[in-house]
Amino acid sequence: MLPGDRIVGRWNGRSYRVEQKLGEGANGQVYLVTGAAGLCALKLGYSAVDLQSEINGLMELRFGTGNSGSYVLDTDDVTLGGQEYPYYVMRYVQGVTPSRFLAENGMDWYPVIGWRLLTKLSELHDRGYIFGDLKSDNILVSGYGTTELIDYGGLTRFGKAVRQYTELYDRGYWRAGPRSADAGYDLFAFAVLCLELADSGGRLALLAKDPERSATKLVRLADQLPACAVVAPVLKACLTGGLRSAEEARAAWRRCVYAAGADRAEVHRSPPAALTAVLAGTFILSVIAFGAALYWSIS
Amino acid sequence: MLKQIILITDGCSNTGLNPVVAAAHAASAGVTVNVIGVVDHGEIGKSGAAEADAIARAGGGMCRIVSLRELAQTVQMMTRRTVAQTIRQVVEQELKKTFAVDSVEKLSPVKRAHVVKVMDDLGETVSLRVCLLIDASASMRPKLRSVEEAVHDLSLSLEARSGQSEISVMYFPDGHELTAGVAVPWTKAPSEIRSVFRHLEMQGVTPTGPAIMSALQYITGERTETAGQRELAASREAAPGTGLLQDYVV
Ligand SMILES: Nc1ncnc2c1ncn2[C@@H]1O[C@H](COP(=O)(O)OP(=O)(O)OP(=O)(O)O)[C@@H](O)[C@H]1O
Repeated sequence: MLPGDRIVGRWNGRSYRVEQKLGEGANGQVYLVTGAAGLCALKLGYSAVDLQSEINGLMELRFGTGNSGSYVLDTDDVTLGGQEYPYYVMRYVQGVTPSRFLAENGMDWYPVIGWRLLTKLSELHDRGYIFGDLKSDNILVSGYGTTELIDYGGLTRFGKAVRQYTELYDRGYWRAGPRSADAGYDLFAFAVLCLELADSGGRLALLAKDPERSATKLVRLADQLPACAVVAPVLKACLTGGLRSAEEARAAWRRCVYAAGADRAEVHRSPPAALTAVLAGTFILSVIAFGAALYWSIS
Repeated sequence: MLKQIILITDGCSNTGLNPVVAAAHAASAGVTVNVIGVVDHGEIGKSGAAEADAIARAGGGMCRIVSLRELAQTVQMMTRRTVAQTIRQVVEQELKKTFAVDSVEKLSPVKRAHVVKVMDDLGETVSLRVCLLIDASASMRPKLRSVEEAVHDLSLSLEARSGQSEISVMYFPDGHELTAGVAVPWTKAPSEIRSVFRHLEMQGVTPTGPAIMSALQYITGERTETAGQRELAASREAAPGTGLLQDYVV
Protein backbone atom coordinates (compact mmCIF):
# COMPACT_ATOMS: atom_id res chain seq x y z
CA MET A 1 0.00 0.00 0.00
CA LEU A 2 1.16 3.50 -0.75
CA PRO A 3 0.61 6.86 0.97
CA GLY A 4 -2.76 8.26 -0.05
CA ASP A 5 -4.35 4.83 -0.58
CA ARG A 6 -7.72 4.26 1.02
CA ILE A 7 -8.71 1.24 3.06
CA VAL A 8 -12.39 0.54 3.50
CA GLY A 9 -13.39 -2.28 5.80
CA ARG A 10 -15.57 -5.00 4.33
CA TRP A 11 -17.55 -5.66 7.50
CA ASN A 12 -17.63 -2.40 9.46
CA GLY A 13 -17.23 -0.04 6.53
CA ARG A 14 -14.84 2.30 8.33
CA SER A 15 -12.32 3.97 6.11
CA TYR A 16 -8.70 4.96 6.59
CA ARG A 17 -6.17 6.91 4.58
CA VAL A 18 -2.65 5.48 4.44
CA GLU A 19 0.00 8.03 5.50
CA GLN A 20 3.15 5.93 5.53
CA LYS A 21 4.55 2.50 6.25
CA LEU A 22 5.77 2.08 9.82
CA GLY A 23 7.32 -1.31 9.64
CA GLU A 24 7.13 -4.90 8.61
CA GLY A 25 7.49 -8.19 10.45
CA ALA A 26 6.94 -11.90 10.07
CA ASN A 27 3.19 -11.59 10.57
CA GLY A 28 2.35 -8.53 8.57
CA GLN A 29 2.92 -4.89 7.71
CA VAL A 30 2.12 -1.89 9.87
CA TYR A 31 0.97 1.46 8.45
CA LEU A 32 0.32 4.87 9.88
CA VAL A 33 -3.24 5.77 8.86
CA THR A 34 -5.78 8.51 9.45
CA GLY A 35 -9.27 7.40 10.39
CA ALA A 36 -12.30 9.14 11.87
CA ALA A 37 -10.52 9.13 15.24
CA GLY A 38 -7.29 10.62 13.90
CA LEU A 39 -3.87 8.99 13.52
CA CYS A 40 -3.67 5.27 14.25
CA ALA A 41 -1.51 2.29 13.35
CA LEU A 42 -3.01 -0.38 11.11
CA LYS A 43 -1.58 -3.89 10.99
CA LEU A 44 -2.28 -5.76 7.78
CA GLY A 45 -1.86 -9.49 8.41
CA TYR A 46 -0.63 -12.25 6.14
CA SER A 47 -2.73 -14.92 7.83
CA ALA A 48 -6.25 -14.38 9.13
CA VAL A 49 -5.83 -17.06 11.77
CA ASP A 50 -2.52 -15.78 13.15
CA LEU A 51 -3.70 -12.18 13.16
CA GLN A 52 -6.98 -13.10 14.85
CA SER A 53 -5.08 -15.03 17.47
CA GLU A 54 -3.07 -11.89 18.24
CA ILE A 55 -6.26 -9.80 18.35
CA ASN A 56 -7.89 -12.28 20.71
CA GLY A 57 -5.03 -11.89 23.15
CA LEU A 58 -5.31 -8.12 23.05
CA MET A 59 -9.07 -8.18 23.50
CA GLU A 60 -8.86 -10.51 26.49
CA LEU A 61 -6.37 -8.18 28.03
CA ARG A 62 -8.78 -5.32 27.61
CA PHE A 63 -11.86 -7.10 28.89
CA GLY A 64 -9.86 -8.36 31.82
CA THR A 65 -9.65 -4.96 33.47
CA GLY A 66 -10.75 -2.25 31.11
CA ASN A 67 -8.48 0.45 32.46
CA SER A 68 -5.97 0.25 29.63
CA GLY A 69 -8.52 1.72 27.27
CA SER A 70 -8.87 0.00 23.96
CA TYR A 71 -5.61 -0.84 22.27
CA VAL A 72 -7.49 -2.49 19.40
CA LEU A 73 -9.76 0.09 17.78
CA ASP A 74 -11.18 -1.85 14.83
CA THR A 75 -10.80 -5.24 13.16
CA ASP A 76 -11.86 -5.90 9.60
CA ASP A 77 -10.88 -7.24 6.17
CA VAL A 78 -9.99 -5.33 3.04
CA THR A 79 -9.69 -6.35 -0.62
CA LEU A 80 -6.44 -5.21 -2.21
CA GLY A 81 -5.51 -6.18 -5.73
CA GLY A 82 -8.24 -8.83 -5.77
CA GLN A 83 -7.08 -10.43 -2.53
CA GLU A 84 -8.61 -10.30 0.94
CA TYR A 85 -6.39 -9.18 3.80
CA PRO A 86 -7.28 -9.10 7.47
CA TYR A 87 -6.25 -6.10 9.54
CA TYR A 88 -6.67 -4.47 12.88
CA VAL A 89 -6.30 -0.86 13.89
CA MET A 90 -4.52 0.09 17.08
CA ARG A 91 -3.25 3.10 18.93
CA TYR A 92 -0.30 4.73 17.16
CA VAL A 93 2.75 4.58 19.37
CA GLN A 94 5.50 7.10 18.72
CA GLY A 95 9.14 6.50 19.41
CA VAL A 96 12.31 4.72 18.46
CA THR A 97 13.87 1.45 19.62
CA PRO A 98 15.63 1.62 23.00
CA SER A 99 19.08 1.20 21.46
CA ARG A 100 18.49 4.14 19.17
CA PHE A 101 17.07 6.25 21.98
CA LEU A 102 20.14 5.55 24.11
CA ALA A 103 22.49 6.26 21.22
CA GLU A 104 20.80 9.62 20.65
CA ASN A 105 20.27 10.67 24.25
CA GLY A 106 22.97 8.94 26.26
CA MET A 107 23.20 6.01 28.65
CA ASP A 108 21.88 8.14 31.53
CA TRP A 109 18.45 7.13 30.28
CA TYR A 110 19.19 3.41 30.61
CA PRO A 111 17.81 3.02 34.13
CA VAL A 112 14.71 5.00 33.19
CA ILE A 113 13.88 2.71 30.30
CA GLY A 114 14.51 -0.38 32.42
CA TRP A 115 12.20 0.93 35.10
CA ARG A 116 9.43 1.73 32.63
CA LEU A 117 9.72 -1.70 31.07
CA LEU A 118 9.48 -3.47 34.40
CA THR A 119 6.40 -1.38 35.15
CA LYS A 120 4.78 -2.46 31.87
CA LEU A 121 5.62 -6.11 32.51
CA SER A 122 4.31 -5.92 36.02
CA GLU A 123 0.98 -4.50 34.75
CA LEU A 124 0.62 -7.37 32.30
CA HIS A 125 1.53 -9.95 34.92
CA ASP A 126 -1.10 -8.55 37.26
CA ARG A 127 -3.66 -9.42 34.60
CA GLY A 128 -2.39 -12.97 34.28
CA TYR A 129 -0.36 -12.61 31.08
CA ILE A 130 3.27 -12.47 30.11
CA PHE A 131 4.46 -10.44 27.12
CA GLY A 132 6.54 -13.36 25.82
CA ASP A 133 8.42 -11.89 22.88
CA LEU A 134 10.26 -9.09 24.68
CA LYS A 135 13.02 -7.69 22.46
CA SER A 136 14.41 -4.39 21.26
CA ASP A 137 12.23 -4.39 18.11
CA ASN A 138 9.06 -4.60 20.17
CA ILE A 139 9.71 -1.55 22.29
CA LEU A 140 9.28 2.11 21.38
CA VAL A 141 10.78 4.89 23.50
CA SER A 142 10.00 8.60 23.19
CA GLY A 143 10.08 11.92 25.06
CA TYR A 144 11.58 11.64 28.53
CA GLY A 145 12.01 7.89 28.32
CA THR A 146 8.32 7.03 27.84
CA THR A 147 8.39 3.36 26.95
CA GLU A 148 5.67 1.37 25.17
CA LEU A 149 5.40 -2.26 24.16
CA ILE A 150 4.21 -3.08 20.64
CA ASP A 151 3.56 -6.38 18.86
CA TYR A 152 1.60 -8.51 21.30
CA GLY A 153 1.99 -11.73 19.27
CA GLY A 154 3.77 -13.40 22.17
CA LEU A 155 1.15 -12.55 24.80
CA THR A 156 0.58 -15.77 26.78
CA ARG A 157 -1.56 -16.68 29.77
CA PHE A 158 0.40 -17.78 32.83
CA GLY A 159 1.10 -21.49 32.74
CA LYS A 160 0.69 -21.91 28.96
CA ALA A 161 3.40 -22.56 26.39
CA VAL A 162 4.95 -19.24 25.29
CA ARG A 163 3.32 -18.40 21.97
CA GLN A 164 6.09 -16.49 20.27
CA TYR A 165 9.67 -15.85 21.25
CA THR A 166 13.02 -14.82 19.81
CA GLU A 167 15.95 -17.15 20.45
CA LEU A 168 18.37 -14.54 21.78
CA TYR A 169 16.00 -13.62 24.62
CA ASP A 170 14.51 -17.06 25.19
CA ARG A 171 15.08 -18.73 28.54
CA GLY A 172 14.91 -22.16 26.91
CA TYR A 173 17.55 -21.27 24.37
CA TRP A 174 19.96 -20.35 27.17
CA ARG A 175 19.07 -23.60 28.96
CA ALA A 176 17.90 -21.65 31.95
CA GLY A 177 14.39 -23.01 32.37
CA PRO A 178 11.18 -24.08 30.69
CA ARG A 179 9.49 -22.33 27.79
CA SER A 180 6.26 -21.86 29.67
CA ALA A 181 4.72 -18.59 30.76
CA ASP A 182 5.64 -17.35 34.22
CA ALA A 183 6.93 -14.01 35.50
CA GLY A 184 10.49 -15.34 35.34
CA TYR A 185 10.23 -15.90 31.59
CA ASP A 186 9.68 -12.20 30.88
CA LEU A 187 12.27 -11.20 33.47
CA PHE A 188 14.87 -13.39 31.80
CA ALA A 189 14.19 -11.75 28.44
CA PHE A 190 14.28 -8.38 30.17
CA ALA A 191 17.74 -9.11 31.57
CA VAL A 192 19.08 -10.23 28.19
CA LEU A 193 17.67 -7.07 26.64
CA CYS A 194 19.40 -4.96 29.30
CA LEU A 195 22.68 -6.74 28.61
CA GLU A 196 22.22 -6.14 24.91
CA LEU A 197 21.66 -2.41 25.49
CA ALA A 198 24.73 -2.19 27.73
CA ASP A 199 26.92 -4.22 25.40
CA SER A 200 28.66 -2.15 22.75
CA GLY A 201 31.23 -4.78 21.86
CA GLY A 202 28.97 -7.53 20.50
CA ARG A 203 29.86 -9.87 23.34
CA LEU A 204 26.29 -11.02 23.87
CA ALA A 205 25.97 -12.06 20.23
CA LEU A 206 29.16 -14.05 20.61
CA LEU A 207 27.88 -15.84 23.70
CA ALA A 208 24.64 -16.67 21.91
CA LYS A 209 26.57 -18.54 19.22
CA ASP A 210 28.52 -20.58 21.74
CA PRO A 211 27.27 -24.20 21.83
CA GLU A 212 28.05 -24.17 25.56
CA ARG A 213 25.87 -21.11 26.18
CA SER A 214 24.29 -20.87 29.61
CA ALA A 215 22.76 -18.46 32.10
CA THR A 216 26.02 -18.60 34.05
CA LYS A 217 27.83 -17.03 31.13
CA LEU A 218 25.22 -14.28 30.95
CA VAL A 219 25.67 -13.65 34.66
CA ARG A 220 29.39 -13.25 34.10
CA LEU A 221 28.70 -10.81 31.27
CA ALA A 222 26.46 -8.75 33.58
CA ASP A 223 29.42 -8.42 35.93
CA GLN A 224 31.76 -7.34 33.15
CA LEU A 225 29.79 -4.69 31.29
CA PRO A 226 30.41 -1.29 32.90
CA ALA A 227 27.25 0.23 31.39
CA CYS A 228 24.99 -2.00 33.48
CA ALA A 229 27.12 -2.19 36.61
CA VAL A 230 24.59 -0.27 38.71
CA VAL A 231 21.77 -2.72 38.06
CA ALA A 232 23.88 -5.86 37.65
CA PRO A 233 22.49 -7.44 40.86
CA VAL A 234 18.94 -7.18 39.49
CA LEU A 235 19.96 -8.54 36.09
CA LYS A 236 21.72 -11.48 37.69
CA ALA A 237 18.67 -12.27 39.82
CA CYS A 238 16.49 -12.15 36.68
CA LEU A 239 18.85 -14.51 34.86
CA THR A 240 18.96 -17.08 37.62
CA GLY A 241 15.28 -17.04 38.54
CA GLY A 242 15.97 -15.35 41.85
CA LEU A 243 12.96 -13.02 41.67
CA ARG A 244 9.37 -14.03 42.10
CA SER A 245 7.70 -11.19 40.21
CA ALA A 246 8.23 -8.14 38.05
CA GLU A 247 7.10 -6.11 41.05
CA GLU A 248 10.00 -7.50 43.05
CA ALA A 249 12.38 -6.76 40.18
CA ARG A 250 11.04 -3.20 40.09
CA ALA A 251 11.72 -2.68 43.76
CA ALA A 252 15.25 -4.04 43.42
CA TRP A 253 15.87 -1.93 40.33
CA ARG A 254 14.76 1.22 42.10
CA ARG A 255 16.94 0.51 45.10
CA CYS A 256 20.05 0.11 42.92
CA VAL A 257 19.35 3.13 40.73
CA TYR A 258 18.42 5.55 43.50
CA ALA A 259 21.44 4.60 45.60
CA ALA A 260 23.77 5.06 42.64
CA GLY A 261 22.12 8.34 41.63
CA ALA A 262 22.54 9.78 45.12
CA ASP A 263 26.16 8.65 45.17
CA ARG A 264 27.26 10.36 42.01
CA ALA A 265 29.44 13.37 42.75
CA GLU A 266 29.16 15.30 39.51
CA VAL A 267 25.80 16.54 38.29
CA HIS A 268 24.72 15.66 34.77
CA ARG A 269 21.99 17.44 32.95
CA SER A 270 21.22 15.81 29.67
CA PRO A 271 17.69 16.21 28.37
CA PRO A 272 16.93 14.15 25.25
CA ALA A 273 18.78 15.36 22.17
CA ALA A 274 15.61 16.40 20.39
CA LEU A 275 14.68 18.68 23.28
CA THR A 276 18.19 20.10 23.44
CA ALA A 277 17.90 20.98 19.78
CA VAL A 278 14.54 22.63 20.31
CA LEU A 279 15.83 24.57 23.31
CA ALA A 280 18.98 25.59 21.43
CA GLY A 281 16.78 26.68 18.52
CA THR A 282 14.60 28.76 20.81
CA PHE A 283 17.66 30.32 22.37
CA ILE A 284 19.15 31.29 19.04
CA LEU A 285 15.84 32.73 17.91
CA SER A 286 15.55 34.85 21.02
CA VAL A 287 19.12 36.09 20.57
CA ILE A 288 18.31 37.10 17.03
CA ALA A 289 15.09 38.77 18.19
CA PHE A 290 17.00 40.59 20.90
CA GLY A 291 19.63 41.71 18.40
CA ALA A 292 16.95 42.95 16.04
CA ALA A 293 15.21 44.87 18.83
CA LEU A 294 18.52 46.39 19.88
CA TYR A 295 19.31 47.43 16.32
CA TRP A 296 15.83 48.90 15.96
CA SER A 297 16.05 50.94 19.14
CA ILE A 298 19.56 52.22 18.35
CA SER A 299 18.68 53.28 14.84
CA MET B 1 -3.89 -37.57 18.52
CA LEU B 2 -1.84 -35.70 15.93
CA LYS B 3 1.07 -37.63 14.52
CA GLN B 4 3.98 -36.37 12.53
CA ILE B 5 7.32 -37.59 11.28
CA ILE B 6 10.09 -35.09 10.68
CA LEU B 7 12.74 -36.51 8.38
CA ILE B 8 16.14 -34.85 8.65
CA THR B 9 18.49 -35.77 5.83
CA ASP B 10 21.30 -34.39 3.71
CA GLY B 11 21.03 -36.37 0.54
CA CYS B 12 19.24 -38.83 -1.66
CA SER B 13 17.99 -42.28 -0.80
CA ASN B 14 19.85 -45.04 -2.59
CA THR B 15 18.27 -48.31 -1.60
CA GLY B 16 14.95 -49.94 -0.76
CA LEU B 17 11.38 -48.73 -1.18
CA ASN B 18 10.82 -45.37 -2.90
CA PRO B 19 10.54 -42.85 0.00
CA VAL B 20 7.83 -40.91 -1.83
CA VAL B 21 5.65 -44.02 -1.78
CA ALA B 22 6.45 -44.55 1.89
CA ALA B 23 5.40 -40.96 2.64
CA ALA B 24 2.14 -41.51 0.79
CA HIS B 25 1.48 -44.53 3.03
CA ALA B 26 2.01 -42.32 6.03
CA ALA B 27 -0.29 -39.57 4.74
CA SER B 28 -3.07 -42.06 4.10
CA ALA B 29 -2.72 -43.25 7.69
CA GLY B 30 -3.15 -39.66 8.90
CA VAL B 31 0.53 -39.20 9.69
CA THR B 32 2.13 -36.03 8.31
CA VAL B 33 5.66 -36.29 6.92
CA ASN B 34 7.81 -33.13 7.01
CA VAL B 35 11.27 -33.03 5.50
CA ILE B 36 14.29 -30.95 6.40
CA GLY B 37 17.28 -31.05 4.12
CA VAL B 38 20.36 -29.80 5.96
CA VAL B 39 23.23 -28.25 4.11
CA ASP B 40 26.51 -27.64 5.82
CA HIS B 41 29.26 -26.27 3.65
CA GLY B 42 28.43 -28.45 0.72
CA GLU B 43 24.98 -28.70 -0.70
CA ILE B 44 22.16 -31.15 -0.90
CA GLY B 45 22.22 -31.31 -4.69
CA LYS B 46 19.40 -30.99 -7.17
CA SER B 47 18.19 -34.58 -6.91
CA GLY B 48 18.35 -34.50 -3.11
CA ALA B 49 16.25 -31.33 -2.99
CA ALA B 50 13.76 -32.69 -5.49
CA GLU B 51 13.37 -35.92 -3.54
CA ALA B 52 12.95 -34.06 -0.24
CA ASP B 53 10.25 -31.94 -1.81
CA ALA B 54 8.42 -34.93 -3.30
CA ILE B 55 8.49 -36.81 0.03
CA ALA B 56 6.95 -33.83 1.82
CA ARG B 57 4.28 -33.40 -0.84
CA ALA B 58 3.32 -37.06 -0.70
CA GLY B 59 3.39 -36.94 3.09
CA GLY B 60 1.10 -33.90 3.29
CA GLY B 61 3.82 -31.90 5.02
CA MET B 62 6.32 -29.22 4.18
CA CYS B 63 9.91 -29.25 3.04
CA ARG B 64 12.70 -26.83 3.90
CA ILE B 65 16.34 -26.85 2.89
CA VAL B 66 18.22 -25.08 5.70
CA SER B 67 21.69 -24.56 7.12
CA LEU B 68 22.67 -26.30 10.35
CA ARG B 69 22.24 -23.08 12.27
CA GLU B 70 18.56 -22.90 11.36
CA LEU B 71 17.82 -26.53 12.13
CA ALA B 72 16.38 -26.13 15.64
CA GLN B 73 14.13 -23.27 14.60
CA THR B 74 12.92 -25.14 11.55
CA VAL B 75 12.01 -28.24 13.55
CA GLN B 76 10.01 -26.00 15.91
CA MET B 77 8.29 -24.14 13.15
CA MET B 78 7.30 -27.33 11.30
CA THR B 79 5.91 -28.97 14.38
CA ARG B 80 3.83 -25.92 15.25
CA ARG B 81 2.60 -25.35 11.71
CA THR B 82 1.66 -28.99 11.24
CA VAL B 83 -0.43 -28.93 14.41
CA ALA B 84 -2.07 -25.67 13.35
CA GLN B 85 -2.81 -26.92 9.84
CA THR B 86 -4.26 -30.21 10.97
CA ILE B 87 -6.52 -28.46 13.43
CA ARG B 88 -7.52 -25.99 10.80
CA GLN B 89 -8.56 -28.76 8.40
CA VAL B 90 -10.70 -30.37 11.07
CA VAL B 91 -12.25 -27.07 12.07
CA GLU B 92 -13.00 -26.10 8.49
CA GLN B 93 -14.80 -29.40 7.90
CA GLU B 94 -16.89 -28.52 10.91
CA LEU B 95 -17.49 -24.99 9.62
CA LYS B 96 -18.86 -26.33 6.37
CA LYS B 97 -21.49 -28.24 8.32
CA THR B 98 -22.38 -25.48 10.78
CA PHE B 99 -22.01 -22.24 8.88
CA ALA B 100 -21.79 -23.41 5.27
CA VAL B 101 -18.50 -21.58 4.82
CA ASP B 102 -15.34 -23.42 3.93
CA SER B 103 -12.63 -21.26 5.44
CA VAL B 104 -11.93 -19.24 8.55
CA GLU B 105 -11.22 -16.15 6.43
CA LYS B 106 -14.83 -16.00 5.27
CA LEU B 107 -16.27 -15.69 8.76
CA SER B 108 -17.27 -12.32 10.16
CA PRO B 109 -14.75 -10.85 12.62
CA VAL B 110 -16.92 -11.81 15.59
CA LYS B 111 -17.33 -15.47 14.59
CA ARG B 112 -13.72 -15.63 13.48
CA ALA B 113 -12.55 -14.47 16.90
CA HIS B 114 -14.49 -17.30 18.49
CA VAL B 115 -13.37 -20.01 16.08
CA VAL B 116 -9.70 -18.99 16.29
CA LYS B 117 -9.94 -19.14 20.07
CA VAL B 118 -11.12 -22.74 19.78
CA MET B 119 -8.29 -23.50 17.34
CA ASP B 120 -5.69 -22.02 19.67
CA ASP B 121 -7.04 -23.98 22.62
CA LEU B 122 -6.96 -27.18 20.58
CA GLY B 123 -3.41 -26.45 19.46
CA GLU B 124 -2.34 -26.13 23.05
CA THR B 125 -4.21 -29.16 24.39
CA VAL B 126 -4.43 -31.81 21.65
CA SER B 127 -2.17 -34.81 22.20
CA LEU B 128 0.77 -34.95 19.91
CA ARG B 129 3.34 -37.43 18.77
CA VAL B 130 6.46 -36.34 16.92
CA CYS B 131 8.99 -38.82 15.55
CA LEU B 132 12.26 -37.31 14.43
CA LEU B 133 13.73 -39.58 11.80
CA ILE B 134 17.42 -38.92 11.34
CA ASP B 135 19.52 -39.85 8.35
CA ALA B 136 22.67 -41.15 10.05
CA SER B 137 24.60 -41.97 6.92
CA ALA B 138 28.29 -41.08 7.01
CA SER B 139 27.93 -37.56 5.62
CA MET B 140 25.54 -36.63 8.44
CA ARG B 141 28.01 -37.45 11.20
CA PRO B 142 29.39 -33.93 11.67
CA LYS B 143 25.83 -32.62 11.81
CA LEU B 144 24.53 -34.84 14.59
CA ARG B 145 25.44 -32.39 17.30
CA SER B 146 23.14 -29.83 15.78
CA VAL B 147 20.47 -32.49 15.42
CA GLU B 148 20.76 -33.25 19.12
CA GLU B 149 20.42 -29.61 19.90
CA ALA B 150 17.28 -29.39 17.76
CA VAL B 151 15.79 -32.42 19.55
CA HIS B 152 16.46 -30.79 22.87
CA ASP B 153 14.99 -27.49 21.76
CA LEU B 154 11.81 -29.11 20.45
CA SER B 155 11.42 -31.08 23.63
CA LEU B 156 11.45 -27.86 25.65
CA SER B 157 8.56 -26.45 23.67
CA LEU B 158 6.58 -29.68 23.78
CA GLU B 159 6.98 -29.94 27.53
CA ALA B 160 5.49 -26.50 27.97
CA ARG B 161 2.23 -27.52 26.23
CA SER B 162 -0.82 -28.38 28.30
CA GLY B 163 -1.63 -31.35 26.07
CA GLN B 164 0.17 -34.65 26.20
CA SER B 165 3.21 -34.63 23.94
CA GLU B 166 5.45 -37.53 23.09
CA ILE B 167 8.64 -37.42 21.17
CA SER B 168 10.91 -40.12 19.82
CA VAL B 169 14.09 -40.18 17.78
CA MET B 170 14.88 -42.82 15.15
CA TYR B 171 17.90 -43.14 12.92
CA PHE B 172 18.75 -45.00 9.75
CA PRO B 173 20.36 -47.16 8.63
CA ASP B 174 20.48 -49.22 11.80
CA GLY B 175 23.72 -51.16 11.44
CA HIS B 176 23.31 -53.37 8.43
CA GLU B 177 19.52 -53.31 8.59
CA LEU B 178 17.60 -51.19 6.14
CA THR B 179 14.99 -50.31 8.74
CA ALA B 180 15.37 -47.51 11.27
CA GLY B 181 16.51 -48.00 14.84
CA VAL B 182 15.13 -46.26 17.90
CA ALA B 183 17.59 -43.84 19.48
CA VAL B 184 15.09 -42.41 21.97
CA PRO B 185 11.86 -44.33 22.63
CA TRP B 186 8.58 -42.42 23.12
CA THR B 187 9.01 -40.14 26.04
CA LYS B 188 6.85 -37.54 27.77
CA ALA B 189 9.69 -36.02 29.76
CA PRO B 190 11.79 -35.17 26.76
CA SER B 191 14.04 -32.64 28.43
CA GLU B 192 15.74 -35.58 30.08
CA ILE B 193 17.05 -36.63 26.69
CA ARG B 194 20.73 -35.83 26.87
CA SER B 195 22.80 -37.73 24.45
CA VAL B 196 20.76 -38.97 21.52
CA PHE B 197 23.29 -40.77 19.42
CA ARG B 198 25.72 -42.64 21.59
CA HIS B 199 27.02 -45.51 19.57
CA LEU B 200 26.14 -45.10 15.97
CA GLU B 201 27.79 -47.09 13.27
CA MET B 202 27.95 -44.86 10.25
CA GLN B 203 27.09 -46.53 6.98
CA GLY B 204 27.24 -45.39 3.42
CA VAL B 205 23.74 -46.39 2.38
CA THR B 206 20.64 -44.22 2.75
CA PRO B 207 17.49 -46.35 2.87
CA THR B 208 15.07 -43.45 3.34
CA GLY B 209 11.96 -45.33 2.14
CA PRO B 210 12.28 -48.30 4.49
CA ALA B 211 13.14 -45.88 7.30
CA ILE B 212 9.91 -43.93 6.81
CA MET B 213 8.01 -47.22 6.93
CA SER B 214 9.73 -48.08 10.22
CA ALA B 215 8.82 -44.71 11.66
CA LEU B 216 5.24 -45.17 10.46
CA GLN B 217 5.06 -48.54 12.22
CA TYR B 218 6.43 -46.99 15.37
CA ILE B 219 4.23 -43.91 15.40
CA THR B 220 1.02 -45.83 14.71
CA GLY B 221 1.86 -48.39 17.36
CA GLU B 222 2.21 -51.25 14.87
CA ARG B 223 5.66 -51.78 16.22
CA THR B 224 5.62 -51.38 19.95
CA GLU B 225 8.89 -53.01 20.76
CA THR B 226 12.42 -52.94 19.48
CA ALA B 227 15.35 -55.01 20.55
CA GLY B 228 16.70 -53.68 23.80
CA GLN B 229 13.90 -51.13 24.21
CA ARG B 230 11.25 -50.97 26.86
CA GLU B 231 7.82 -51.73 25.62
CA LEU B 232 5.84 -48.75 24.52
CA ALA B 233 3.17 -47.79 26.96
CA ALA B 234 -0.25 -48.52 25.51
CA SER B 235 -1.35 -45.39 23.75
CA ARG B 236 -4.58 -43.90 24.92
CA GLU B 237 -5.51 -41.93 21.92
CA ALA B 238 -8.65 -40.20 20.93
CA ALA B 239 -9.98 -40.99 17.50
CA PRO B 240 -8.63 -38.53 15.00
CA GLY B 241 -10.89 -36.50 12.75
CA THR B 242 -14.06 -34.80 13.85
CA GLY B 243 -13.94 -36.29 17.35
CA LEU B 244 -11.35 -33.67 18.06
CA LEU B 245 -13.97 -30.98 18.22
CA GLN B 246 -16.54 -32.81 20.27
CA ASP B 247 -15.74 -30.98 23.50
CA TYR B 248 -16.08 -27.63 21.88
CA VAL B 249 -19.15 -25.83 20.73
CA VAL B 250 -18.28 -23.93 17.62
N1 LIG C 1 1.16 0.62 17.38
C1 LIG C 1 2.25 0.94 16.66
N2 LIG C 1 2.64 2.21 16.55
C2 LIG C 1 3.73 2.54 15.82
N3 LIG C 1 4.49 1.66 15.15
C3 LIG C 1 4.17 0.37 15.20
C4 LIG C 1 3.03 -0.07 15.96
N4 LIG C 1 2.94 -1.40 15.84
C5 LIG C 1 3.96 -1.78 15.05
N5 LIG C 1 4.71 -0.73 14.66
C6 LIG C 1 5.90 -0.76 13.78
O1 LIG C 1 5.79 -1.82 12.83
C7 LIG C 1 6.82 -2.77 12.97
C8 LIG C 1 6.32 -4.21 12.75
O2 LIG C 1 5.24 -4.48 13.62
P1 LIG C 1 5.10 -5.84 14.43
O3 LIG C 1 6.35 -6.07 15.22
O4 LIG C 1 3.80 -5.79 15.15
O5 LIG C 1 5.01 -6.88 13.23
P2 LIG C 1 5.20 -8.47 13.32
O6 LIG C 1 4.88 -8.99 11.97
O7 LIG C 1 4.44 -9.01 14.46
O8 LIG C 1 6.75 -8.52 13.59
P3 LIG C 1 7.62 -9.67 14.24
O9 LIG C 1 8.23 -10.37 13.10
O10 LIG C 1 8.63 -8.87 15.04
O11 LIG C 1 6.74 -10.49 15.10
C9 LIG C 1 7.37 -2.55 14.36
O12 LIG C 1 8.71 -2.89 14.46
C10 LIG C 1 7.16 -1.04 14.54
O13 LIG C 1 8.21 -0.33 13.95
